[in-house]
Parts: sequence; structure tokens; C-alpha cells
Amino acid sequence: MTLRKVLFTVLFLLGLYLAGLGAFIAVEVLGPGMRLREEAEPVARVHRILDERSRSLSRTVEAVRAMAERGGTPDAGEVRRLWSGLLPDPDERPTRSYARVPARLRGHMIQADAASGLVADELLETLILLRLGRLEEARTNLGVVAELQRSALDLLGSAQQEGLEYVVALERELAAAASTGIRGVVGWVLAGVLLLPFLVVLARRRVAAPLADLDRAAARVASGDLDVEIEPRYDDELGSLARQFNQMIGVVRARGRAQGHLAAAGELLSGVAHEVKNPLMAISALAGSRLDEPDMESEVRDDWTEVQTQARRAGKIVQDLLRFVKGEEDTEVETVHLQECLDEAISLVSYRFEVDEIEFSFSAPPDPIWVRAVPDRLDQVLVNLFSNALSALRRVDPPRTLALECRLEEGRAVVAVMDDGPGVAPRVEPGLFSPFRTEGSETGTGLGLYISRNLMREMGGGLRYVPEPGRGARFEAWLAVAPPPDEAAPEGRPAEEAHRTGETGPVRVPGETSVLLVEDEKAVRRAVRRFLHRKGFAVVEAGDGLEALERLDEGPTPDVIVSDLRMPRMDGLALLQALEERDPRLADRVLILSGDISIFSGDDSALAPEQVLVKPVELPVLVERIETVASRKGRASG
Amino acid sequence: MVAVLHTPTTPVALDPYLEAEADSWGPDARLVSRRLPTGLEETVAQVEDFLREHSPTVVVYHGTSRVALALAPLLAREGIPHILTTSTSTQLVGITPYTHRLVPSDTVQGRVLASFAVDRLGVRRPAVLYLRDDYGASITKGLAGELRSRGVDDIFLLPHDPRSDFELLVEGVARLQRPDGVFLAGYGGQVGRVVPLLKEWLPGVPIIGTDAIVSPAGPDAPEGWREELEGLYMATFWLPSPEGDPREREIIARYRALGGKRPSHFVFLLQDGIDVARAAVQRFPRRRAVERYLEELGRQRPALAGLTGPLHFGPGRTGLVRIARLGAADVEPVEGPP
Repeated sequence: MTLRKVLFTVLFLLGLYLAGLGAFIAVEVLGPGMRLREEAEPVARVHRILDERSRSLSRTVEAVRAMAERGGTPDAGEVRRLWSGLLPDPDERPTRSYARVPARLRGHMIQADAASGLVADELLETLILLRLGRLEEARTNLGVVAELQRSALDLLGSAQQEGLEYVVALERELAAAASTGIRGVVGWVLAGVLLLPFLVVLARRRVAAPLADLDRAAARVASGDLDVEIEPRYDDELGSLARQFNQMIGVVRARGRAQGHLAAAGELLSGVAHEVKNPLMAISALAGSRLDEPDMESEVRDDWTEVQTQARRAGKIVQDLLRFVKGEEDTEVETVHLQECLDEAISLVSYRFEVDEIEFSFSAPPDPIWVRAVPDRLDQVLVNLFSNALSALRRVDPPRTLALECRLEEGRAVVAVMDDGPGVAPRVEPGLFSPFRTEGSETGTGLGLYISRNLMREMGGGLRYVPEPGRGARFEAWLAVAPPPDEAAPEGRPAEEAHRTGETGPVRVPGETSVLLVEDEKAVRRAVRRFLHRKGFAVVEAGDGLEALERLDEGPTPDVIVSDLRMPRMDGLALLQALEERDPRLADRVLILSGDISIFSGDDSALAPEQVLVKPVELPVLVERIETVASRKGRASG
Repeated sequence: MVAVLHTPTTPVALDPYLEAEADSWGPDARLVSRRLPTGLEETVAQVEDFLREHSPTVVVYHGTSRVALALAPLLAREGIPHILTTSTSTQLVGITPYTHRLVPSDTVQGRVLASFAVDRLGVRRPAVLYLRDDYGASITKGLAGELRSRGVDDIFLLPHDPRSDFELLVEGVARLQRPDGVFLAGYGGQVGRVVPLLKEWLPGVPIIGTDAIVSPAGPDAPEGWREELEGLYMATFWLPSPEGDPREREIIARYRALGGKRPSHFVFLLQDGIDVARAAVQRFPRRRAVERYLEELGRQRPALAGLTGPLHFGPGRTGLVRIARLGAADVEPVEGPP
């Protein structure tokens, strides 16, 4: 039985109980009470009228008798007074009350009424006789009056007796009813007392206990225990609530596991990316070194240039991937070149286009569009939209198309991601941006669109789904257009630019600047050493921090120490600390190479930003930094 | 169903008249009539039985105010709307929400009679002989009040009952009051006994009767009482229309065929009451709707055309009371009362 039915039954029983109690009191007590009031009142009224008339008549009889006994001509004023007292008063006629008098009481009442009228008429005749001076006839008439009066009084007495007995009977009936009523009410109250425990038990079992289960379970969930499950007690609304609670917790549990997997995957990816950086660094350095050779055939130079380009591209992908996975919390809004952001997002997913046979198109205005955004967050939103589109496209057969469209619209920059996948079912649309909606995806967390829209809103923009029946899915994200940043001279990276143009700078006098290169990866160490050597640096190598300290002990002291971060035995930071302890000036000569950029992002980092180079580093940039440190060392010592 | 209850004071011819009326009705309504007994107690008991037996939709009561005063609360208790055709007592005004009266109250009749007597006949020292019952007491109250309001204070009020010594009463009136006009408020039986005495003791003094003096006499009525009333003035609720209305002619013919004489104004009031009740039950089968219909007549609904004037229960029917002079077997309109 559902809780609603249980409550309805309880209320119905309570209503029945109260109605029964009320009806019992009404029937047993109020009924006789009302009868007493309704029937006794007209009886009393008729008796009052008849009684008053009887008394008045008696007084008149006495007065007329006295008048007759006195003899002579009666006083006209007294006759007039007595006469008017014998006239019927239409307002005091009891007839109107007779219909309300019980039938068995009416007989003597009506007879008494008529008898008093006869007495009055006889008295009027007597008064006429007295006025006419017929004294004897008047005295004789008074005898008739006396007889009629006795008869009227008898009838009145009988009527009063009957009335009294009737009222007494009604009162007895009422008293008996009241007694029965009290007993009955006590019975009802006892029945109510018996009913109460049943209701209490019912309420505890059906309401209180299930609610307590829910309360306990919710408290455990609040304390972080997701392994809680409620056993529904009844198949009612609270039972349904318990089942839904279990389902909800199941979803949360699954999400937790999924997020744990994602976090682990992120960690793994981070490690892999770090490890990939070293070979990339080696490849890049080796290619850079080879490209520095002046006498190289054009075809071979093109090959090495391609090797270096691909190594750089791979390095950028790994870099972007690391930043996305780690989700660095750079929340500062800045003016962003939208097309560049879109390029970056595309580069993260573009490898899938070929694999999944997706025809990708991108259209954007030719002029730069500037928006106010947090770049990482915008990246996250776009990658999420791309990922959703790719997932959807995998559910349809090729050919598959994915389009990215950027346009300006009423002061906003709108980015539309469109696919020709199965689209969003109309039933799903209303809750599309709600959390934990995973319709159409077996692997998603159900949080992507929810988080994406929140991110867009935080940046002052928005995200919506634009239904296009029969045309797949279309999501539109928008941001307010911002004015372009100041036309300051672009911060050049001369070394990089120069390298890209093939200008690698002057070759130094051999041995002029000495470099201690600390790197555990031999391939990297070899490639960098060869490049620096070609550039005229005197390079001493060490495989880790300890070995570097040995080289320093052996002397001479290098102008610059270039050290990897992660190394066996003693890593870069430990080396830096050792140098700090040994001679702080040595520590100032250190440049750290690392694939893990996160350790330098905190304010409490021991390293200055200019001391850090992120792998895979462009070799010309490395040279520039080495020369900067060397010139500082020269100024310090000079 | 329409029930007609009428008191024993109504003419014997009324019974076959009502039977003929019932036979003339179609299947859309039914008429049941009952002549009530003499005693009030017995009357009430018999009406209670009648209501249980027939459960009428509406009751037309044709009789004295005394019985009407007793029956109105009883009918109201059962929720039965009722039409009083001839009961004039002021005590009936507003007695129940179910009570509807076709005739004006005694106050109105008293005003018309007093006005006629004082203004047309110049009466200044009247005597009023009236029956000691609700009807007599009520109409005398209205009459005396109206006379006093016109400056006539020397009024000889003499109640009586059927057993009274009428010779003594009339002698007393004649010798003690020496009236210049006598009002009679009662029914044909008593009036028929009093009128010859009045004519003997007070020759030439005008006698003015109330509406009920043409009611049939009781068992103690003298032979030829109706003829004794010749020359009396009386209050009437109906007078023959000068144009000779065909419906009037039809009723007069029917009544004459059954009773051997011309019907009194009460028969026309009764017929009007029956016609209203029939119209109501033909339209509405339930008591509450009938009650509303009666209440709305002359207000939200147009009044029905009746023999005694427009049929409704509003104040407009107070102009119904007119003065007539009784001929040997007929009534003659007296030039309208002022």
C-alpha cells in the first residue's frame, strides 16, 4: 500500500472517528435537548396565555360580582374598564402556537381557551344586564359564569397537568440521554485511546523508520562514505525514495571511480609526457646541431629541418597535453586571440580526424578576434565540445563531417561546433546541461557540458545547444569581443626567430665560455654537448648531481651550469641546494631544464623564472640563456 | 400535485366543484381536495395524515384564518409552499416563508370598511359585533384602529360566540350605544341570526359586514339566513366584470349547476389560487422551485391574469377589497370606495 493510501486511510479513520463521535453526541444528547426546547416552548407559551387570561377573568368575575351585590347603577368608567378587559386581544391568541404543541396536549388547551371565551362572553352579557338595570338577571347570569369558570379552570388545570407531565417526561428523556451520552463518549474516548497506539505504530513503521534510514544514510554520505545502501522497507513513496537514493549514490560512486580513473590517467599521461620530452629534446638538439654544419647538401639539410620541425611539433603537443591534463588554475582573464586559441584546441584533437575519417572544416573572419577569457579554460571548453562531437560521430558511418565556425554577432564572438552525427534527442534536450547526464555516452562523466557552460558563464559568455533537426548537433559558445591589446612591439624571441630563418648567430672563440652540462639522458647530453661545442662553448659533462659536484671539485669552475631536473642519485634541485650551500654565486649560474613545468609555478619556488627552460627547449634559446648567465657572471666578477 | 384543503365553513357545493376541477386537469398535474373537520385539534391531526399520505407539491388552503394560523407552521415544517385564498388575519403576515396569501390582510379590509362607513355613510358612533375567534379579533383590531385614526372613538366593541344571547346583545347595543352604524365581523350563521334583531332594534341603521358574512352558516343557522342579509354592505374581493368575462360565466354556470346558486367571491379566490398552483406545478415538479416561482410572481416574473385581478403575492393586491351591497341573491357594486 502506498504511503498516500496509508495517510488517506489514517485520515479517513480519524475523520470517521470524529464524525461518529459528533453524530453520537448529536443523536443521543442534542436530539432530546432540541426536542425539549422546541416542544416545551410552545407548550409553555400557550399555558402562559391561558393562565394569564384565567387570572384576569377571575379578577373580572369578582369585580362584576361585587358590582352586582352592590346593586344600583354601575359606574360607567368601571364597566368600561372591565369591558375592555373582556375583549379578545388578537395578539395574544394562542392559535398560532397550537400547531407546535404536541397533538395529545392540544385537546384540553383548546377547550380551556374556548371555555375562557365563554366565561368572558357571559361576563359581557352580565355587564350589559347590569347597565340595563336588570340586576336579578345579572345575578342569575353570574351563577352561569361561576359554572363556566369552574369548567374552564378544570380544563385549564387538566391542560396544565398534561403539559407539566409532558415537560417532565421530556426532561427525564433528556437526562437519560445525557447519561447515555456520557457513557457513550467515554466509550468513544476509550476506543480512540485504543486506536492511538495503532496509529503511532503505523506512523513509526511507515514514516518515521524509513525517514530515519534516509537520515542515517545521508549522514554517512555527507561524511564521505559512498558505500551506503538503504534497504527499502515498503513498496511505497518512501521506499521509492530509498531506491532513488541508492541509484543516486550508485551514480555518485561510479562518477567517483571514473574521476579516479581519469586522475590516474592524467598522472600517467603526465609521466609519459615527461619521459617523451627527453627523446624529443635529444632529437631536436641533434637536428639543431646537424643543421649548424655549414657544408651540408641541400637535400640532407631539408631532411634535418623536417626532423627538427616534427620534433618541435611533437614537443608542443606534449606541452599542451600536459597543461590540459594538469588543469593549471590560471584563472586570470586576459585578452586572448580567439583564432589562436581555436588553433590550439584543434591541434589537440586533430590527430583523430584522419583516424576516424572525419572531414574537418574551419571558418573564421580573416582579421584577429580578441576576446576576454582564461585561455586554459577556453581550451577546456573547446576540447570538450570537440570530444563530444567526435564521440557522436563515431556512432555514425563515414563520411563524417565536423565543422568549426567562428563569427562576430552583435558584439560577441560566437564559436559553433557542428557535427553530422545522430544529434541530441528531443527528450534529452531539457536536461542537456544538467550534471550527470550521460545519454548517448557510455564512458562520459556526464559533467562535461555542465562544467563547460559554467566556465563560459564565469568568463562572461555562454554555451547553448542549437537544435537543427536532421542535421546532427550544433553547440554555440560565445564571449564578449574585447578591444585588441596595445600595439606594443612584439616581444621578440630573437634567437628563435633567427633559428627559424637559419641565422644561428656568431660562432664563439673556442673555450671562451665554459658550460657544465648535467644530464642523465645520454642522447640528450650528447646532442646538446655537440651543439654547444659547435657554438664555441667549452662543455664539461656530468650524468647527475653528484657527478656534477665531482667535476666542480676537480675544477675549473664553469661559467654556466645547465642541469636537468630529474636525475638519479641527485636531481637538479638537490644540486642547486648543494651549490647554494657551497657557494651562492655558483647557484646563480645554474639553468634548469625540465619537462615538468608545474614545480616552478608556485610563488615559493627556489628558482627564478629566467633560470628555467622547459623541455624540449629550442637550442638557440638555450644558447641565449647561457650567454645571459655568462655575461652576468662576467659583470659580477669584473 | 396540488392539494386543496378547505374548512367546513365553505359551501357544500365546493366538493363537487373541486371534483369537477380535478377531472378537467390533464396528465401534467393532479388535484386532490379535502374538506377539513370542525375542531382545530382534529383538523391539525387530519392534515398531518393527509400530508403523509399525499405529499403534495403545493397546498391551496381555503378557509378561516384560525385554521390557517395553525396549519401554516405545520406546512412550513414540511417545506410545502401554500397559498391562502381567503385568510385575512394580520397574524398571518410573514408567519412562514412558505405562506402566500391572495387576499389583503384585515388591516386593509378594516381601512376600506372604516373609510366607507365614515366617509360615505357618515357613521360616528358605531358598534362592532364580532365573533370571538382569530378572524373576528383580527379584523376588529384593524377596523377599530382605522375608525379611531379617523376620529371615531366612541366604538361599542362586542365579541360573542355562537352560544351567546344575541337578543340581549343586540338590545344592549341598541340601548347602551344607540349606534349610527353596525359592523358585523363573523360568518353567515351568526350574522343571519343577528341581522333580523338589528333591523328590529335599529331600523334604518346601516349594517356593514366583513368579507366572511356570506360564508355558509353552521348547523344552528336560521332558515333563509342569506335572504336576511339583503341590503347589507360588505367587503368583497370579487365583483362581476361589466364586460361579462367568459371564464367568469363558465365558473358561475358550473357552480350554479352544482350548488344551485351563484358562487360567492370566495369561489373566485379559490379558483385563482388553484390556477396559480397549477401553473407552478406544471412548470416545476419540486417544492423548492415552486416556492421560488410563487415568490417571483409579480417581481422577476409577470403576474398571472386572474379572476380577481393580477395574480401575485406582492403588495399590489391590497387594492382588491371593494364594497358591494347584497341583493336577495346577488351582489351589487357600490360606487367605488374613496
